[in-house]
Amino acid sequence: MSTAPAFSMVTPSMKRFGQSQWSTVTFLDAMAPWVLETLSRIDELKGLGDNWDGYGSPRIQTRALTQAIKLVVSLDLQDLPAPVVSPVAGGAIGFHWRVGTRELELTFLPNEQIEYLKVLDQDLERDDALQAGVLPPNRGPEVGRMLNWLIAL
Amino acid sequence: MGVHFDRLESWTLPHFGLFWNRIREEFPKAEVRPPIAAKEWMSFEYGTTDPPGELRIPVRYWFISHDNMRLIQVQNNLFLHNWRRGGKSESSSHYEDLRPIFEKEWLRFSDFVKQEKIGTPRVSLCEVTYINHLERGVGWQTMADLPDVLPCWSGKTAEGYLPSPNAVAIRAFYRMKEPDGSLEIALQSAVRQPDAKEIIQLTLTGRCRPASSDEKDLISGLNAAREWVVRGFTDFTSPKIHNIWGRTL
Repeated sequence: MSTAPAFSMVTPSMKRFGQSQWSTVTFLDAMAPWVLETLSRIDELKGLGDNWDGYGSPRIQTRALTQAIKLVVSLDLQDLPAPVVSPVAGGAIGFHWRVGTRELELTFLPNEQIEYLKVLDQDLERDDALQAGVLPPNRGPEVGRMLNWLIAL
Repeated sequence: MGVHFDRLESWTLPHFGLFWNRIREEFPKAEVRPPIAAKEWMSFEYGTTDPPGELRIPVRYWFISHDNMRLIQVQNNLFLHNWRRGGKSESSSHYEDLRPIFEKEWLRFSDFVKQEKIGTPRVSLCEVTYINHLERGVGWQTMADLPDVLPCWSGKTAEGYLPSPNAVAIRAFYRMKEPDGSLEIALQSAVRQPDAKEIIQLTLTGRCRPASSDEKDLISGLNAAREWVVRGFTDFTSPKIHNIWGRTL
């Protein structure tokens, strides 16, 4: 079409590197497939009510969900498999990955802390097979390092 | 709201600091950002510069106001002014109120460029952008509700095998003929970082070529771009969404 060259000249954002907008959103179409799968699974679990486990556990608390979602969308990792996402007693939500012989479990607690458990060796008899700890809120980079460790084989 | 202009060849990194010095009282925070640019510009220039051996690094600077509500973005071919909603009053985010502020800031910038003998900005495009967030639960619950938001999206598939999508991204370009320009509409599923809320973000950007770099023609260009944004929004979205957003941009 004869208008094409002129039109292409007035649409500079087609090849933009930076964005002109001033907003703090993460667009889902730019996310890795595992992120979309994980968000979808989290969404399913939002429907759980109190006593979902038959032992009186509260539903997954909003602060735990918020922490989990914020972390997932902030990770810039393309090659990660989707974790198994499950409710955890006490109003928390958990992610579990297994890649080769390595495993990582993250539990997002209602107080916004994140519990982690790293399985470094499947031989659980070994003293150094497990590593566990608690991270304060908003420690995305540290979780990112754990996930890089998980897929670094 | 902003303008694109021909690249100022004499603009160098120290000029960002000199300009910041002029606006620092109102915009005390500065951040370095990657430039908005075609990819071919995203390379360091070295060896072809004048004087030879000078390193040119393409960057964009953000200058942010005290209250975090206003942002000025500067690079060697771009000047943008952004506002956040939620200021002292809603009326403060209306175009009629914002455009004079933009004019004042643009004048301050172009005066700086002239006084520093960097050149004269020759404006190639005027740009007006509006961003709207539609939170999940307000007008939509899942992507199956998207036809209620967008008349152009039916959600139907040929055989009905696929469920409704988890995420959607739509980009549409429309040609503006008078003046010469375009309207870009982007609708994207997103997560808003501060509160982790799921949203649909609707971004409308009107761009057009002004007749000249004179103030009168720039205002006319901005008005035309804004007109396309407002009417484009009304045309692209459903009456249900107009009610939710109050129809006004």
